[in-house]
Parts: sequence; C-alpha cells; structure tokens
Amino acid sequence: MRVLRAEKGLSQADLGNVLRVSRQTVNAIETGKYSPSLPLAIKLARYFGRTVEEVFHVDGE
Amino acid sequence: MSMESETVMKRPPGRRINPAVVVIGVFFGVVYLVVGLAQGEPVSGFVGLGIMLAFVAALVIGSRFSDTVALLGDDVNDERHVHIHQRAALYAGNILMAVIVVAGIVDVARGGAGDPYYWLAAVGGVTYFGVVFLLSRRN
Repeated sequence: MRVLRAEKGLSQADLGNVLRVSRQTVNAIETGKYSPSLPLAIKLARYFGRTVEEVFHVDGE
Repeated sequence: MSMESETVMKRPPGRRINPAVVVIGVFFGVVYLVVGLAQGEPVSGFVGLGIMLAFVAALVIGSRFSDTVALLGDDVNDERHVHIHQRAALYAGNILMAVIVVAGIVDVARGGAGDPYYWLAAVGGVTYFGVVFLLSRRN
C-alpha cells in the first residue's frame, strides 16, 4: 500500500483525509499492525484502482 | 472525495473526538460542583469542576494537534480507534470484575457481609451475559 500511495504522491495524512481515518491508522495498515475492515479495504482498493487482493495479502501466501 | 469537501473539513478525520465525551465531562464537572455545594464544601466542588473542564479543554485543544490525544476522545469516528477502545474496555472490565470478586471474598473472609462487592459483581455478570445474549441474536 505504501508503494501505491507513493505513486500518487500522497502523504499518510493525505491518504487518511481521503479515507476519513487518522494518519496513524494509515501507518498501522501499511506496517501490518492493523487489518482494516472490509469496507475500508474495499474503499482503499477502489481509490487506487486495484482489487482488494492486489492491495492486501495474507502473510505466508 | 471532492476538493470542495476537503477545504470545508477543518479538522483531519483522525483528530475528531466524540462530542459525547465533551458533554459527559462537563456534566460530571457540574455534578462535582453540585455535590460539593450540597456538602458545604464549595472549594472541592469548584476544584472538581475545574479539573473536568481542564480535562475536556485539553482533549479538545490537544486533539487538533495530536492523533494520540484525539484517540483518547474518539471511539466512534476512526475504525481503528473504535477497535482500540473496545479492547481497552474489555481489559478494564475484566480486571475490574476480578478485583471486585477478590475484594468481596476478602471482605467475607474478614467477617464482613461482602457488600457492595457482591451486588457490583452481580451487575457486571448480568450485564455481560445480557450483552452476549443480545449480540448472539443480532450478529
């Protein structure tokens, strides 16, 4: 997700404003400390023009 | 999200706090004041009100600059904040119930009747099972 965000030239705070979550939440998602809800994951993927499977993956897969 | 709505939004979404926290904080400050005045201790009443108002002010002002401060007053806006507050409530509730049960046992061991620990534990237990039942029906 960090790569996709960088491609759009967005800071974590910018992406948080778009998704209506805090910068810390964006950081927690990028570092794998927090797994977003399904609606937020779909919102994220759609914002980047990708599928959820392309943006997120389960560790070990 | 449109640029127009972004300019209208003054506070980042991660730094909004639950208005109920402000209302409850001010309410309890007023309660402290009323109790203090009723007990003939106006100084402690005003101190209690001052402490609650200072806490609410610190929360409102601090949340404008710090995501961490905003987290303390937000359990409805950011889904990660909601998740953190739920887990914090879980730990606090479990620890509180354990302390109440132990305190009741100690009180009885010392020859007491167990009041008010037993009815506090009963309230906690009934609430817990009631919520489990309700959520099992709704989810």
